[in-house]
Amino acid sequence: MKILRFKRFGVSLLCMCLVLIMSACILLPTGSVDDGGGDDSVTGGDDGTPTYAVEINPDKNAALELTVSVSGDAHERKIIEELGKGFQKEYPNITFKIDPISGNIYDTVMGYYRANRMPDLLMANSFSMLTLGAAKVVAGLDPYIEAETQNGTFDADDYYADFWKLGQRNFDGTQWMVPRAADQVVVHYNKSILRAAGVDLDPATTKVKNGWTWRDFLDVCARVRSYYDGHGMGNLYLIDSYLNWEANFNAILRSCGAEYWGEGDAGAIVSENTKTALNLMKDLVEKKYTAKFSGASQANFDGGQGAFLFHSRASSLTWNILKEVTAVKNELGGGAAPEDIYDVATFPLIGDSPKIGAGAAGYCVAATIDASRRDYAWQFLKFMLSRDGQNIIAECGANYPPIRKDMADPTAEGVSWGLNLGFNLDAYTWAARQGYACATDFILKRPAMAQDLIDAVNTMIKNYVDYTPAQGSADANAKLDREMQYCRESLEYWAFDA
Amino acid sequence: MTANAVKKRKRVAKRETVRRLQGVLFTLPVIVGIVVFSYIPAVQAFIYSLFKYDGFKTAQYIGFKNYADLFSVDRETGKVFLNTFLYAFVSVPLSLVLGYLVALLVNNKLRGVSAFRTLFYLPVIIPGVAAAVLWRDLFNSEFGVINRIFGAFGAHSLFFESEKTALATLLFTGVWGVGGSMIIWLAAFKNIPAELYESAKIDGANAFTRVVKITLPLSTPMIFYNLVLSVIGSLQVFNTFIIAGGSGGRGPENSLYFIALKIYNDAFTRGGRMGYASALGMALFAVIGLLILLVFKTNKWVTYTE
Repeated sequence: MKILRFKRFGVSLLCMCLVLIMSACILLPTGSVDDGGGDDSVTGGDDGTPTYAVEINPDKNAALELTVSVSGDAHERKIIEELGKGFQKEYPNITFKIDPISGNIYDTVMGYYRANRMPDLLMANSFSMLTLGAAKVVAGLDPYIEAETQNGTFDADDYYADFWKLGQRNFDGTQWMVPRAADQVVVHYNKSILRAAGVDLDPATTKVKNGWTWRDFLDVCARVRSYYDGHGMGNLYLIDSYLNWEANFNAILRSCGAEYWGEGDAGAIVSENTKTALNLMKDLVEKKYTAKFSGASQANFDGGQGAFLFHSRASSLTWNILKEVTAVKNELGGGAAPEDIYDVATFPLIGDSPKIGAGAAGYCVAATIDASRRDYAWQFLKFMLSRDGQNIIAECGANYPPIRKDMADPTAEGVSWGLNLGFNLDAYTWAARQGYACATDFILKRPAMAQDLIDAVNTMIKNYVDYTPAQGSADANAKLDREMQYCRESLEYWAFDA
Repeated sequence: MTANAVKKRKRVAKRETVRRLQGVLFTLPVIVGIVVFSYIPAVQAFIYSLFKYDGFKTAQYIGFKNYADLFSVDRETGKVFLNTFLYAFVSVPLSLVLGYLVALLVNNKLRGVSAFRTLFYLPVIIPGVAAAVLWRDLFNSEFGVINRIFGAFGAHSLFFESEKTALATLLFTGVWGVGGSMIIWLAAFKNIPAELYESAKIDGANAFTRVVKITLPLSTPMIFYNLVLSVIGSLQVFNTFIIAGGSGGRGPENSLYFIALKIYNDAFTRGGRMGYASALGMALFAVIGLLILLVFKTNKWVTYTE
């Protein structure tokens, strides 16, 4: 009996050991021990430059299927499909297969990588690009850019520098991503509501125009607030402000002169400038222009109830939503033109050194694919950046502003992004031309913890803006000091300690 | 032994071997599934936990540093463990007791009782995301139905939007799932011989006595089974309600930040922390293992009977 038990125990132990050894052999982290990662000649390594050989004139008759990993929404898929068709005019035998990214880009790409089925091209944004680059899974594109520049077939100066750099390591280094548009926060506004509130909308005299100031904006808000209150809409808010979105809060903080990092990597968020910015945001809530952070209420701009929306969304997309609202349908039925009902203007300028939030989405080339595939992937990105490519993106329905400077005028011949809509699309590129575009660059201290760094600032804003002081301004000031202090500690923790 | 006897014995042995082989073949898919999808990933997670690993290419062996960092560096660990234990401490007894009471209520032969059983079970088959949207609207602080009812009594709550009430609100939504445990209890009740109740009735035992003296003791194996599953499930809670609600899953002031969500965040949203997330996963595994061991060691109250 004892022998039998011993045998069973032995067999169980052996089986466990077998599983353990098999697992250990098969499942050691890829890259094994302390090898520092992948091919630095392709990725550029930790802080170097990629040095691989490139072919900028690949065989145009080559047959190849490129896989593109695209965010789940149908619109982005359509863009790639249409770009693919355009690309095939020059490379007729290159076909495209789309792999959808569902949810988190980093998570999805990790899945691809571990399954050894990395796509050739992958969609990213200016945050995820940094993390993917640091993980050494996207190629540095500098060798292509240099070769094409020498060949006279590419000039980085054709693109807005403020957006082009959002595809680079630390926003100033190896090119890991090619941005596909110039995404700028603008103010979308409901002209019908403003007109009903008695706001002057005469193009010659109106305050609501590109380059308007925060003071102008508050004046208009005050007028619209009075209109709401006097017409039984006292419970409605005016602005879908998305102050918890880093593109918005960062621009406001920076416009007021606030800094996140000081000398010696110390957090510098505790400052009078930060207080000014936070009070500016709190002012919007206290005057009931925008809803508190806590609480699901919004001004409901998309539903035709709110007057303003701070967002970088393409105006065609916003208009497509707004025109389904019954009141807007009635106006259109009555002969009104879209530009009589809705328009966009630049984000209001704050202070002497104004900033306006900017971001970028684009495409990276996987570092793991072989050289010939990489050559075609680059050619595809180059096509995306061309006038034809930028027009195709617009013709897919979303008039994101092109990243090309020579396409800034939406009404110019051969430029499609106006989509024959009479909106003030200049608002989207105005800030970049003035040098006011502002990236969320405080996360560069530690891009891998970008969301936590953003959350740290967001928490400070929310806790202060939503705070109702029990004992007047002294109480509010104490709260403000506490929140700033806690934010500084959090930023330092996520940047260096975590 | 005759040649025939030897032949017969060999035939029997062969038949027995074939029978055993069939048994192994039938169980093989499950065994392979468990090994491939449970044991190997578990070992894999342990190995990863010894590395500074980003999930892609870079891996550096660091021994048990990830484990040490869990409780010495990471300032989220304490909060997520506290939240998770608090959630488990309340939700396990709540779901067990409520499920049991509901099962007792519908465990009779009254007319139309099956309609009630269906109604109680119905929420379980509603997809989690749909339920999440429903709860989000019901508990909306400004226009939610619950606050309108509260408003009739002059009360108001921020529910999921305040760190003071978020966990309690989430626990309340757990009531939604009592139908699931109700079904298990009902199955357990059906296994209790009807003669016992008839004898008890003849002896003059009232309904309460019958529940306490017969139903409860004879359903202890199922109570034990449900207890084990509930403990495991509650410690692994992933907070889908709030994720669907769009607040990133952590709730206000991290009040709904649970261990499983932190594992996910570290592994898949924070670059370079796959190894660390694996260490946290192993820590959770150890905690659950210890608790389950404790439950098994104290199972003398379970009545196993024919």
